Amino acid sequence: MRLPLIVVAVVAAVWLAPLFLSVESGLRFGWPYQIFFTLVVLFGGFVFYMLRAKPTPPFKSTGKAFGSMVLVFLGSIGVIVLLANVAPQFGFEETSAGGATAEERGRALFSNPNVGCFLCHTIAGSGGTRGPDLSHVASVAGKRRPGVSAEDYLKESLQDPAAFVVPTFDKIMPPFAQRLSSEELADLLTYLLSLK
Amino acid sequence: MPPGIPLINDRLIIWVVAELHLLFAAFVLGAPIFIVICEYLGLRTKDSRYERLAQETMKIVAISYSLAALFGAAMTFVLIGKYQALANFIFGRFYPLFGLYALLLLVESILMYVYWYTWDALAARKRIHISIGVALNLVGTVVMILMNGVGSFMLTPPPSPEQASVWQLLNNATWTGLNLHRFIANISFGGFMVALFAAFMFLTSRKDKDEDRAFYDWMGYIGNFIGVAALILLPVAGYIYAKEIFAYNATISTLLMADKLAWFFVIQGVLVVLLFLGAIYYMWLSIQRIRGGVRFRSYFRGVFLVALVGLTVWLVPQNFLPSLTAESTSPIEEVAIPERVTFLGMMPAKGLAVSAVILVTAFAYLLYRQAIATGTMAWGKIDTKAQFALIFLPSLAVFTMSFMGPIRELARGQWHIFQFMADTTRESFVPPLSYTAIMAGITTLVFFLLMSAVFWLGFKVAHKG
Repeated sequence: MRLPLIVVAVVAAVWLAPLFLSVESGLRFGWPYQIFFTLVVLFGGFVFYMLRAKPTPPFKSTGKAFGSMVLVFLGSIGVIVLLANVAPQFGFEETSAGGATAEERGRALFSNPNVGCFLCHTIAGSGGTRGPDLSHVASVAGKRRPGVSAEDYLKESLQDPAAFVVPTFDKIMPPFAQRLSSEELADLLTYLLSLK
Repeated sequence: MPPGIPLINDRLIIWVVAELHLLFAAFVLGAPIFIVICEYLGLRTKDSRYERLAQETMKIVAISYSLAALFGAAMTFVLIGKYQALANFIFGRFYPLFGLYALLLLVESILMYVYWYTWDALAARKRIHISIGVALNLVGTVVMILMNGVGSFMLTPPPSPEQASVWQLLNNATWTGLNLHRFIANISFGGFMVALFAAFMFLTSRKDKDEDRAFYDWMGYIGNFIGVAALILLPVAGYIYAKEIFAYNATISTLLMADKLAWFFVIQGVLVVLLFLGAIYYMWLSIQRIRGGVRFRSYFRGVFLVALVGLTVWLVPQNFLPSLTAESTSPIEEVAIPERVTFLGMMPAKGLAVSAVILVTAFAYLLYRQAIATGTMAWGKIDTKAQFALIFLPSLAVFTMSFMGPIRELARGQWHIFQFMADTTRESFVPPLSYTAIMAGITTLVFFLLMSAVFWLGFKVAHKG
């Protein structure tokens, strides 16, 4: 009886905690995370339930044994396929060469070791930490300096990074005006502006 | 499926055929490694079970060998028929290598059949027979290494592939990582397939055949042990391989870990953690048939708890967006990890989590060994659920391989050979996660049907005759 209570209590905590936490606290998980944690807790409950389950006797017929094997197989694979179907999806995307968008070219530049953006900046958890996290830079850039739009701010940051340095970070970023062509700069800017 | 592309197309055919070839090839390459070890252990310990395990597994390998060759040939036909430019380049540039490959394949086939058909004839001269098995494994490993070179070349070709020497083409940036990863994975896969066979035989054996049930219970234990022992090393090999990809071109890594394929890796994480949990659960059930082993059971609750916490940290995503540039319909603070716990989505936290899962699995095995050492094992008296665990584990192992193969192929994006030969076919698209998972499920199902037929024909029908 204790196990169901523990599971219900933890699931309740997962769903009630955000009511007491503000977004500013930096600890408030959104609803997709709440579903994720709920699934994990339910799965944990299932695992501990299986530890208490009574022994299963041997099968009396080969047919039943074979049928149970098929069920275990289909159940195991079915659950994984189901999970993969409810996870976030992107649509079919044709990738024929030459069809890359400015955003895709910009992303490629960001991750290109010869350009080196990712060495100091993180996007979605991947990259360095010597510079600001750019995961949502398009939403943040417009608020950095009053009266300066996100696009103008980012353009200036790429061409003359020393003009404004985000507090708590060092002035180490080199100017990219000479290192990249104007087309490449435009692609990189398009990509950064897509990171909302 | 994008509009205008038929439901069954060239890409799907090569996808399924290549995967089935790889699955059978992994089994016929991985299983003989421990077949020879078991045969040697049988000779050394005089325990006849090792000899029987080795011989029965080799029988499955001998039948599966034909299927591996059949799907290999089918893959070549599809490549030549439908992907001519790629096939021309690969077979042309790697021509000397394919010549050597064909020769070694012939030697491997001869060794395999000699090893199998002289099992009884060389019963009195075991060392000669084991030497043939060792030679079979050495040749098989070289065959695998050669073909890994072609596969890794397509993702990480050297500069100017048209001018590079065959050695430069072969010795590309990720050849070592792929070799290491596949070698360990094949052993793990072979172990789990033996466990599957043992579970199949245990569950379908007659109730009055206690001796058979005891043997297949023991065989499942050995198969699971080999599968888990190799599985523990696999994340390290995977990390080395991923690091090589990152060093070669960071855009591939971004696509894999932070962009479109990131959620594929979340599902891969689920699969790997379930494999570890399944293995621990099998040990938990196994310990109950050890008289005197009950006192070790209490530790397992802690083991499961740590594994579940590890699972949670390993899987918690940076965000719930399908790609790096996707626009969210919900506010970003809802779908992205909160600011003060972003470390949970970073590699150090993931690394620590997976290390914890590996350590508790090893700890569970030590507990299990200790229980065996201090108690009395009642072989054949195991809970039927343990056999289900031995079906669950290979099901996931096969699905994981069928799922990871496409990820490696999709990492090339729009290229047949990365940044050298573009894929201009109309089926050149990155399939969504759901589509890829369904395809992996179909491949796994076909593989299991074929393996069931192998087990049934090789052991049930043959024994009746």
